[in-house]
Amino acid sequence: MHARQISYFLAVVEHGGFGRAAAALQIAQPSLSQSVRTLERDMGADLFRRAPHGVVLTAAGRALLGPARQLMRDLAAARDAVGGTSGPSAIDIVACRPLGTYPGAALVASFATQHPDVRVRLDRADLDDRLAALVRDGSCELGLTYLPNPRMDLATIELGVHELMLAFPPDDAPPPGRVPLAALAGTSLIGAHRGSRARALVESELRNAGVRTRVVVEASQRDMAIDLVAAGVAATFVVDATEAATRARGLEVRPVDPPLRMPFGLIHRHRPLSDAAKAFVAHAQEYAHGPAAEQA
Amino acid sequence: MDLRRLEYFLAVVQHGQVTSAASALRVAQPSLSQAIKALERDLGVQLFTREGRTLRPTRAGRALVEPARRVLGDLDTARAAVADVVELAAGWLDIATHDLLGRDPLVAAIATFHEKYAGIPVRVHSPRDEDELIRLLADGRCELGLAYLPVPDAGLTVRPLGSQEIWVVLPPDASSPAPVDQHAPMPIAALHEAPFVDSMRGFASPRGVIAAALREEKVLIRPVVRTRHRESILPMVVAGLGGAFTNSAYARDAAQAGAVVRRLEPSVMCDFALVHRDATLSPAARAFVRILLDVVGGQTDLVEAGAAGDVNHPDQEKSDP
Repeated sequence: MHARQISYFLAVVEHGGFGRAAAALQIAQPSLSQSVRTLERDMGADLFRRAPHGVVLTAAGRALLGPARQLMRDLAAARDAVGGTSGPSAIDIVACRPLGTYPGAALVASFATQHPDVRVRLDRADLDDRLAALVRDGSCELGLTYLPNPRMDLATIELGVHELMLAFPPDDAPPPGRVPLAALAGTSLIGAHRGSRARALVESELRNAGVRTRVVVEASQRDMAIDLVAAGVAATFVVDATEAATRARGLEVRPVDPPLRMPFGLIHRHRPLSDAAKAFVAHAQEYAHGPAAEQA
Repeated sequence: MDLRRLEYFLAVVQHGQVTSAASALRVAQPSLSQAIKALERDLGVQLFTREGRTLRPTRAGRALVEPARRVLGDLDTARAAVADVVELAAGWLDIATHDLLGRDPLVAAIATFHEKYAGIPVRVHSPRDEDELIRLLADGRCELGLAYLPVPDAGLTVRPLGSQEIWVVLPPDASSPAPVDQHAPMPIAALHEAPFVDSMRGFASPRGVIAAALREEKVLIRPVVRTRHRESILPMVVAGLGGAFTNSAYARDAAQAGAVVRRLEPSVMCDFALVHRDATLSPAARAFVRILLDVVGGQTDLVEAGAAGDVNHPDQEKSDP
């Protein structure tokens, strides 16, 4: 097997079709198809099936994705180790919401600006198990998630802490200051999806406080939740990092008592990171502990 | 006791005769007379005295009026409570949506739905791709789905709802290929080689529609970052990483955040649709669909035809930013 077959396979996945991948790789489409067919024969399974706009992965193709990316990273490291040229590198990160945007967006934007030769992909997985699985099978080299991650077989780098705050419609906000959880008794809330760290923390703290609330809409897309609060549907919890953005959309934000804190950080497998990943980790630590942290 | 007899009894008290009471109740006169006699037998008292065609309540009959009304009121309450549970006040309404359609038109539909049916919470699912959306609908975890067309054929009912225009959002700095006129559409050709913050491979559409438009104009964009976090795109654009394609809801946010926001020339339109199983929709889902059609400018009576009829609306452009 030639590494090119693997990189072509990854290109078809990334571009969602043979035509687009061939154009991006600047090769003829028939040679790309031929190469992927050879890989499929080698693997003994079809890797793609046709879809309305291009192709999608089969189950076998999905299973190959993680190991294939890991193989390309290790190959680059091997080339690097012997002083060869490894070409442009890529880093795959998977984050849950809202970490993919806060601090993900600012983190990735500043990193990409400083490392124009590194291609960054920021994937999303909202359940801890799913996120850890993508890191463990090599699909993503780094995971940006709330800590502690329940899977103990992954290494952890702590970056910061999010505090949950309540966002209210402007005409329905309590006076400034911490809102006691008890004050939420009997109210309606817009909640994050079940299985998210924020939902679990809010539910357990409300239970501890003996407070019952009603979730009237469940939506993890934060900007949808903000729109719904603005429309007067109910209040919602947001992380403190989004406070400025939430206020900019016209809402009032209040901290709660007791404070609801969620530490977050990066997770990765216990094995040497690629140069790109090492650079990203260093960048994230500098970002988290440097002066830029306040602007997150 | 057949509680309907109490209703008949009250009608006869009100009308003072069987004939007009029967026509008000839309029952045959003999059945009404039978029912009253049966009620009298059941209670062991005479309820009316008969003077020709006129029936006057006896003392026992007068004493029964208020309790009978209360019983019938209780029956209404009981029926309503059951109906709430069976229909519009129990469980969840589960909706799967593409993130762009979540902002518009789903938010407006949920807000209206909540106003009318506060008893039914709505759960919004964000599948990673069309396959997951189809799975959520096919196995019944979600009852309704919102997706751009085309939707993979999986035996689901697909009702086209309308069309959204795709906008381009560019960093607020001078080096972007911005046209001189701020309101002029951006020629797609001007985007050649421009850096872009790209969404990740997942939903084939509207990615496929945008890719086809770029190919048509022989334009290659340079993706610098790919992300599956919809909300991370705008901050990255504003940070200067590159441009992005989006719908009008996000374009509005982008304009507020100081980004350059333009329509495209030629314009790029994406049709979107409501997707659900062929099975009959729950009353909650039917109510939601009515509201959703209202929001996108459709006609509500089209839904009443039921799941069998495909609803086809002419393309319509959704809201300007």
